[in-house]
Amino acid sequence: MEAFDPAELPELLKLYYRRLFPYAQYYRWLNYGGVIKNYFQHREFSFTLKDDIYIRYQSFNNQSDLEKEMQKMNPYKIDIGAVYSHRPNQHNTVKLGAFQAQEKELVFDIDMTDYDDVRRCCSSADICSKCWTLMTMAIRIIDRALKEDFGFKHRLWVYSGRRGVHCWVCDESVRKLSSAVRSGIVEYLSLVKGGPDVKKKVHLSEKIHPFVRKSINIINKYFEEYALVDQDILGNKESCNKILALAPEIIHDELQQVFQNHHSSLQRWEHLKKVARCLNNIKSDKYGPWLEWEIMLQYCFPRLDINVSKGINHLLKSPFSVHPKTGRISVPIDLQKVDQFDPFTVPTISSICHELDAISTIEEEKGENKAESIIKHRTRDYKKTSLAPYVKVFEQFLENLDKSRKGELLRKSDLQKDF
Amino acid sequence: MQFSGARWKKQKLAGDQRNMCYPHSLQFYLQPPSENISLIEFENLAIDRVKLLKVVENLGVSYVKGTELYQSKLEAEIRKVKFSFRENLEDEYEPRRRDHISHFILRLAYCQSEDLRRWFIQQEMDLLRFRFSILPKDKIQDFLKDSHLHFEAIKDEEKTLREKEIIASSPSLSGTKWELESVYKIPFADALDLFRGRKVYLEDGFAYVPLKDIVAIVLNEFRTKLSKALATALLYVKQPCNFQDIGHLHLSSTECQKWPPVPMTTQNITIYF
Repeated sequence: MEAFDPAELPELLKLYYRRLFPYAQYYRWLNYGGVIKNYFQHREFSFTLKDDIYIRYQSFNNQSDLEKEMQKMNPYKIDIGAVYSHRPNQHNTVKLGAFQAQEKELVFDIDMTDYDDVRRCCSSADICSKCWTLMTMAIRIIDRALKEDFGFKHRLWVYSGRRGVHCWVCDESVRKLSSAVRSGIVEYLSLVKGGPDVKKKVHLSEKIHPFVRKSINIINKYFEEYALVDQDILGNKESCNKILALAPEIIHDELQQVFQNHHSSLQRWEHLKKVARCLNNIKSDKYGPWLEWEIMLQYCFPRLDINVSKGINHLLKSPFSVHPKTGRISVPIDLQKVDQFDPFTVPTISSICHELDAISTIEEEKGENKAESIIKHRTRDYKKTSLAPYVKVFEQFLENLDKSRKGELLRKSDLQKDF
Repeated sequence: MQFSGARWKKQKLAGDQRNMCYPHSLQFYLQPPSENISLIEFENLAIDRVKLLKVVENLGVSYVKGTELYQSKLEAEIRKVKFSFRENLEDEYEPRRRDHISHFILRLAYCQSEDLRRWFIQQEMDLLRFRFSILPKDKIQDFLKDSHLHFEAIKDEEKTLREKEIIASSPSLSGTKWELESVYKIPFADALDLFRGRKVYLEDGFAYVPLKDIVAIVLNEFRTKLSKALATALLYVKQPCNFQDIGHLHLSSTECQKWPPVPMTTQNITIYF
């Protein structure tokens, strides 16, 4: 893959916004079938321009207006905000207090830095194949809950471009949810509590809620390879002590024995489980795997940022935006292939621009008519690059939205006996 | 013969219509009353309800809410003022009407300050909680439906299918007999206080809520609606009322003396809410 040089961004972005950004699909998404008047026109976008100039309250009349403005301003970053009561770019003309955020997708931001206390391979902005499994597990656990517990149907998962993933829940009813309900959803999805000064971050009661049980089942599928092999969480004295700190004092001696008698994480974990299961739950006097689960959850369960999700007016990085530091495109993630998703193979802006150049050269050599080329280019350029499969995932998501909308319209017209 | 026949028909209609006005022994006071009443009745209804709400407050302090002693004492008080509280075989129209009108009259008085609002809402909630707790199981569904709360009790087959999950999710079910429990299916967003703490089972966008927890939700709904209504009432009270102006009225009980003087006729008043 072509190496990415941030200094080239202005030129690369120019090409990206002129020939590669999937405007048609993007507009199709945010217009939501044009069912509500001015839904797109009242949407806030924010642009981060060269030299960190940040401008809010951008809004556009239609797809072509959006295209023109993006090509003119060449933003380094694009964020999507709420749908407001008025056009955001006219918010200064609105009477004080009348300009209100009304609707927005429910969004989640899962960031690898929030797991620094439990990953040994990397820290802060770094990621590697060993810790990426945390994102895989997070997607599986959160997506299952959003779909099966909350009944949300239209969930778009997107790679953030560097060290995490975002989720956009786009159901019609969800866009209208209040801030209180959004907070409640994040609370429901939260199990790991406490900052850097808190040693033990997960406490389970005797009654295990189905959400917790199902999440543990998902983690079980990945735990051995992720935690015991890749992360090697019982691999040395330091890491063993971290786990010891999560167990009650009465079994510390027994566990130390285990660590002495066995030397691989795999073996140590097997025997730790045996010791832990003999512990009884103080409240109920029942013996069980709570400690084992608490450890697994602390090391693997997703950590959400409530501030991102609860505010209706919160702005989040747009899909198909470029990450200015890595050059990677924020691409949709195919849920059917989430285990195979590799952030290191996500196309960068340099690589796809390079691909485009190479193709153009070939086409020129083939002697294609210049005018023909331009028209062809405008409609199918991204298809010739590595961006294509990701746009396909996005289109599938849009198809599902369309289907739902048609179904809803039919249902409503049936109710009104409108044949 | 014909004459008396017509009269009999008229009375029968009146009876049905009256029952339709107040189909339940309790209500959420969603619709204001719209009739003319005499000034004396206005005053008496207000005084009676204030008395009752003060008793509710005192009983709540002296006894544990929900216990038999609390309930029997409260029942006795409600009987005294002849408001509705329980379904009887007798004609329920009059007690329900008195309950309805008196509530709305007090809104005018108790919307006037934060303290008054808080006190009024608290006592009205305790009163509603009591009435709800003595509602027969088969009447609960109808009452919820008529109050525009889309809460449906699920059938036994559905209950059995989810027995493990519901029991594992609801702390309020510990120690109760599963067979006797009613479980309600409501949109998850209506059960915010339950699902945020994972105290209820969620499936496909619905919360499966045992009866005990439904009461808490219903009361919360009531509190929210009443709070809003009092805020609105405040606007109307500050504006000139549509009363015919002949004299002033000062109501006699000490609680009512907090009310501002309201110009009213001495004969009849028409209440516009």
